[in-house]
Amino acid sequence: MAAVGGCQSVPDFPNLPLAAGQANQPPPDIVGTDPDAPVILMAFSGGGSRAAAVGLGALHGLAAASYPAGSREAPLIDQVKVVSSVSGGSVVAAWFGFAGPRRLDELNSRFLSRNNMAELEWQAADPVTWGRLLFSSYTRVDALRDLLDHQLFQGARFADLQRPGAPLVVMNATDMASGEVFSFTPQRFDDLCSDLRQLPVSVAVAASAAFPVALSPMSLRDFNYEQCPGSPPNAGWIKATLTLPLPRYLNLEEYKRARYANALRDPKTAYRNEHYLHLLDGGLADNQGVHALTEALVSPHSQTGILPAINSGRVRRVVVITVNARSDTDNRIGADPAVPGLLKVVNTVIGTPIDATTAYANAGLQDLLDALKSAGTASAGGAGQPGFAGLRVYGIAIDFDQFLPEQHQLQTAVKNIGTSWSLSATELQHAIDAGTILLRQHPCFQRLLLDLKSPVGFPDPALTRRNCPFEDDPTEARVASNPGGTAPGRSPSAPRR
Amino acid sequence: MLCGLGSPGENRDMSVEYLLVVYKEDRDVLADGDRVGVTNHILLLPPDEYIITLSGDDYAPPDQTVALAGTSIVRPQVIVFT
Repeated sequence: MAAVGGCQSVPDFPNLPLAAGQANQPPPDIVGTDPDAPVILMAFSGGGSRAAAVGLGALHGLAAASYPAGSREAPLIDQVKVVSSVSGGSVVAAWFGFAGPRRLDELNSRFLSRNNMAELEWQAADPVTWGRLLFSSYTRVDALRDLLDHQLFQGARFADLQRPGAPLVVMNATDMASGEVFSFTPQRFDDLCSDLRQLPVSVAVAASAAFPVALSPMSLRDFNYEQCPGSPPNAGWIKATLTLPLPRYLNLEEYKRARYANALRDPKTAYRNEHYLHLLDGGLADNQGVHALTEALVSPHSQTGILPAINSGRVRRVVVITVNARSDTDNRIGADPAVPGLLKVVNTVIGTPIDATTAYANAGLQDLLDALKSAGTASAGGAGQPGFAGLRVYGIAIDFDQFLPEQHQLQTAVKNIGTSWSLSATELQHAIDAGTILLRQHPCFQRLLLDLKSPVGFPDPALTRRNCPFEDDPTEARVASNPGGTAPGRSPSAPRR
Repeated sequence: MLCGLGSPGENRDMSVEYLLVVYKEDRDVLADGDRVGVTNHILLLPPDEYIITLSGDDYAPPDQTVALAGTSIVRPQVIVFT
């Protein structure tokens, strides 16, 4: 199938232009009216069905927790407002956005417990598929897209993700031409003069998971290079960032984002032709979805509105949960004196940079969360009292290296789950359990529940405060109990750059 | 202030700066056309150079360009509209 599909063909582009005079609808108000209600942002990494199952486990952990909100107990999962995802993580993110918290477990029976690889392999061996690849616009990534629609989404479109109370789901792919993260958001589709609401959800999931060589890229059209009938809103920040002298020095990443957005919007001044976007697995650029999550949290140009809400005091509790379901199989390379073969070298070339970039991105995110945390507890004094005074930020980074010594068996089991679209029943349960357990035992998740006065019992609230301290905790609560000498406010698990 | 532009490998995306926009009354503060907060309260923003304007139009100058780097909550960048 790879050989037959390796020939270049022009696909049926799945995205449509904006209607005349129309723009993409921005996300509804994410923040809400209660400043003390937590605003939860999540990021699910790539890793095939393993990542989807671990993400599902983390969502289970949130669903099991609640906090008193007025006269009722509010489920914490209802406070998830933004989910950024990559590859396998996009399967659970999209399902969560589409089906909601009450139908989460259907992901098991519909997808995770099925032998999806066998189905894809059967399709690959089918002469009908070969014919379609050779003589039509069908491409290899369409096989994954069809599987996702058949088992999960049944042709649902992004309009179907916009349920009341639904989180903003941001699935991320990689643009082959530029290497930039391509996020499936209303704002990005305004940049393409394309209607996101009409796009099938399976297109975004498949693009996010289009692993190179195994699958072909998912291709979209940029209608600004043809005729744009729509009227997307003006994005003043793009021109400002590109024309002012200092942005390229003060914030090179933001400058590159502006340059990319400009290339999509304005063919005349584009630094690179982006008429056709060929999208591959989001893990090539960012396997944790950190870029999109950071943008949602602190970009002044994000449609989430979280930064102005922080600045005005409308949000006082921000929770950022990253779920890194990276593979770490026992490859036995170090135990073998023979020079590793080509396959092992290729695996290393692919896997090591992805893991390293993810670790770097996660460490950078932790720096940002630490800066926000300090801002919330600092006192300005004098004029200009900040609206973000009292801001609480809970950084909860979940990683397979956080298992406790007595959990070594589960840790070994999940680390050795390969990256594919099939899991055995045992692997599935291990991965789900891992997500739930790692969330529940994270010190800053426990601190969040304590601060929210969740009915969950705590053996020792003082210990919970010490394990995830804030600068304005009473002095006796900040005496370090961690022999590793964790800096105040930093999660014990986060590596320093 | 601008000497602290960061090392080449540092991701400036992952830090915050502080801006105080002073005006005689509370108005929305816009950075490159996007609302980021209100006047007379210290604001958090990523490091960058921004064109700052206010809601409404009875203020001067019509806009101010500000480069945010090396600030702190006790020493924010301060700009004044009249």
